[in-house]
Amino acid sequence: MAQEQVYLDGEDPEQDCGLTLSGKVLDHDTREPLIGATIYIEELQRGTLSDEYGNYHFHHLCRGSYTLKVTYIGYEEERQSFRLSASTVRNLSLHIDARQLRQVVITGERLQEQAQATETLQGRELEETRGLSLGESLKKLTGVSSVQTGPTVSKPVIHGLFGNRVVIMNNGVRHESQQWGNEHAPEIDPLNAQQMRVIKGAAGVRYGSDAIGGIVLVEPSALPDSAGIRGEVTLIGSTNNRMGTVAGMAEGKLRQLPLSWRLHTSVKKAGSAQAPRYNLDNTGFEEQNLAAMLGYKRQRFGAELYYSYFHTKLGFLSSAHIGNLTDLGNAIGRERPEETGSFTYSIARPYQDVTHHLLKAKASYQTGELGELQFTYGLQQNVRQEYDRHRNTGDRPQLDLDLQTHTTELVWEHKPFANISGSVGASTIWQNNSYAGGTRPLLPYFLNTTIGAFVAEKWRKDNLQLEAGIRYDNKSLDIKRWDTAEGVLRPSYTFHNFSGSLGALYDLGYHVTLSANVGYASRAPHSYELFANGLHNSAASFERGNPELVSEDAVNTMATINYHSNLRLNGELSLYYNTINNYIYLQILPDYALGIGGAYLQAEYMQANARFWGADLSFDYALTNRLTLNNKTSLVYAKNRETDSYLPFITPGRTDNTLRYSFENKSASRLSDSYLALGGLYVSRQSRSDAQSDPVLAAPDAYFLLHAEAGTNLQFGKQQVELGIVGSNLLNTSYRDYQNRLRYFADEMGRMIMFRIKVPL
Amino acid sequence: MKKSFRPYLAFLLMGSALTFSACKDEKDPEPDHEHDVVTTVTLTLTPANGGQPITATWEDLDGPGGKAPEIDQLVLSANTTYTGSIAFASEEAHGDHHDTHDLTADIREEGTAHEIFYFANPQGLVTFTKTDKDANGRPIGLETTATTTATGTGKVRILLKHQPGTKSSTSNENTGETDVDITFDTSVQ
Repeated sequence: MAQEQVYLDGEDPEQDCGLTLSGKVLDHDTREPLIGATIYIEELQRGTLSDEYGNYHFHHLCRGSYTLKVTYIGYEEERQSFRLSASTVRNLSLHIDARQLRQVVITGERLQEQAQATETLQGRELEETRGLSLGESLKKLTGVSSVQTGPTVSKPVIHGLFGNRVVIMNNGVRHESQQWGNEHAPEIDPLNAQQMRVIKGAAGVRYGSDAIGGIVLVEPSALPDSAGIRGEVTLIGSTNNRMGTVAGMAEGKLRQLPLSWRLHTSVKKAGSAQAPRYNLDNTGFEEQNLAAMLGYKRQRFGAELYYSYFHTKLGFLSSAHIGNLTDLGNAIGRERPEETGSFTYSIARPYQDVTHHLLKAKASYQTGELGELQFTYGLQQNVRQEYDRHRNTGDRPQLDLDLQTHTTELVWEHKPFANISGSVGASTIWQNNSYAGGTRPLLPYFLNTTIGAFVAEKWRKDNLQLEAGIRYDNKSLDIKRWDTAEGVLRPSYTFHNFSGSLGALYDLGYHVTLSANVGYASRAPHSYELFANGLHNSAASFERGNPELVSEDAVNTMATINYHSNLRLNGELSLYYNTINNYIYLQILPDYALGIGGAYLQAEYMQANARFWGADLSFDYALTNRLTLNNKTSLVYAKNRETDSYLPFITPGRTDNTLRYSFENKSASRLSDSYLALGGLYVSRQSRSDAQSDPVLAAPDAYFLLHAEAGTNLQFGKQQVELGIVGSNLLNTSYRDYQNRLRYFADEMGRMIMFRIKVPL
Repeated sequence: MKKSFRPYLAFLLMGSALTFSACKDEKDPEPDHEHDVVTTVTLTLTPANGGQPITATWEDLDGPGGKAPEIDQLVLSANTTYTGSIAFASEEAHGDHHDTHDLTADIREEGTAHEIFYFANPQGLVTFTKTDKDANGRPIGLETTATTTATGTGKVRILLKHQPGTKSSTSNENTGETDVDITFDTSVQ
């Protein structure tokens, strides 16, 4: 790390002003001399250049403390402070500026800001996911996978944990929807995001103590700060499900007022997906999104108003909607789904229709030199309607849930004093859930009121950063449920949940950063886990909540080594060990439930002490200046500590290796930033599963998928156009994924080529 | 510094107050149920040559698990031909609240996507023949003729299958989704 302190102490009265400072300027990695580097003594305002051998010298210097600033194009600026008491030889070695070395922008944080492992999806990597859902996009990140329900529903999984254990922050507001359902994908338009960041492991302090698995931060780009209007149109199309997407964005800033705005909209439509050997009947979907943002910024005061609308209608694989256990047995026994149909854009029952509104108001105020005070209010409404494949039920859904959430947050982020920076805050959640009459009472009425407060501070000096944070949440849950025998029952609960974190970050020399973090988070059980009551049609299981559940708590220890700013090899390895006490999981019971439709599996929420551990590795190796190998590998293991048995639904080991060739930018060419990439994803069989963890069907085999990406910027006179092609499952491999809930019924999607054109206006 | 915090505190409280007062929802869940789930199946067999119709009901109001279903015994006469009909309903009854949604007409209307199957064990205890047809000329099974010969005891299993797009000349009781799978203890006297 560069040092910035300047010593002005002890000027010797008896000046010796005949000293010489000399040395060589070298490349840190190759040790080659750098010719023509600028060496500047700040205190004396004297500078010189290194000669053809890399040598430099200053003569007639007095004794004293000096700061040397060395600059050279393509290298990072170096500052060195030292005390000169005799003529000295100092060799100065410079580090290549990684940003200038590569044509391709490096994604991911090069300089860590916090001790806890984070991954960022942005830039080119994010562009390559355009057209995919949020859950599918995040799979690009090491340590993140997804729980799927057919080809259309994908939920992010961090280190084996998902659902209520992963908090999603959508533009600074906790996304509140029916996250408990494995077939409920996050209602967020990824096309509106400029960056998606994942914080891995228990991270309850900042956004709520239920973040046992981690946090996903979806962030749109900042509003423009220079006057004028600009826009952008993106067109995406794909083979396979013949998806078409149109997205448009316009933004601007007024000249007279400090007011900026943005409008973003996207419309998606896809037909049924194709497995290599058959059509996946009724897996089409459509999605409409709108987001409007208005920002006001004066010197000290800033305000932001944001509204977003999300609507989707997505079909469910028709053959996965089954009745009883006999049907399930028949379905598993079939080579291919019973109904394959042929390609169509129309969506029939069973399908989901989900609408999500978010209104956000934020105000910020600079509290003098000390920091900034921020207040955020969020109003969300989530309406989820699920249409089963029943008889002639007209337009009526069978599940119709309405969730309304108000969130407030007040945070004071203070600037460093005495090397300490951080934030203090308080937040509230008020949430009400109800369902329409005549529909399935799968989830009871509930009212959730949560009040929390936190402090998170960082202390930084020289190479070391220490972090600590603590949070307390008080959650009260008032349930109203109808019981055939006893009428309306009103059980109520109060939960006290603490979270804490301790972390350290240490820069070991210039290229290596070590970090370690211990996080504690405690999650109150969700109403669904307490009072679920209903049939799950794709699992032939009857799910029941357990009113006796208590909060689950996790202690997650993580250590990360980050090797960065190197010429060839850069990467990161993190190891984690997560102990979860009272881990809540759905256990299939040995007895069947008998009903009018025959026999069903019975599943009940239970608690046990569990353990998750694993490793994430990611690295880039530059084979040449143009050709780079990228590796992303993640391993997750989990065990029920009480019975020493496997837990179901845990991510199998996966590794993705990609070779990327970046073409040179030629000034005469119309093309720039062109690249070509070819890679393979290998997902192992989940060997840590058995008849106890997966009683219905054993884990599927390992699989390997080939993928390729290419992109370029095309210049038409003054108009620039960004083009991209992404191909997935290029060998058209038939496979099934362990974390796809519909793996009993059908294969995954076959080959898909996705085309993308972005035109800035 | 302390002084300057006062307005912010007021700010937070204001936001929270807005939150708590804006959406008081005093609605209670109503004594209601999902209107599309079959809870009650009634089989009516009328002797072809006159006489009292025989009905047998299979009812499970609280769904799978919970309270055991109430199941009638089916008692038939030997060497008799009956005209059979079956009704499916979604019912709820508790206290003075009673709510019935008949689903039979819906099934008939969607006849091309439904079929009812009858199985006797031992085979031949009762023989059911479907007499109604859907728009494609395939049997539905809401209307039947049931014939008995010798006396005996056993079981009659009735399946209602939902077969949208899959009901065909080759479809059978393993095709499609099971809506109803019930068994009556049967005695032919």
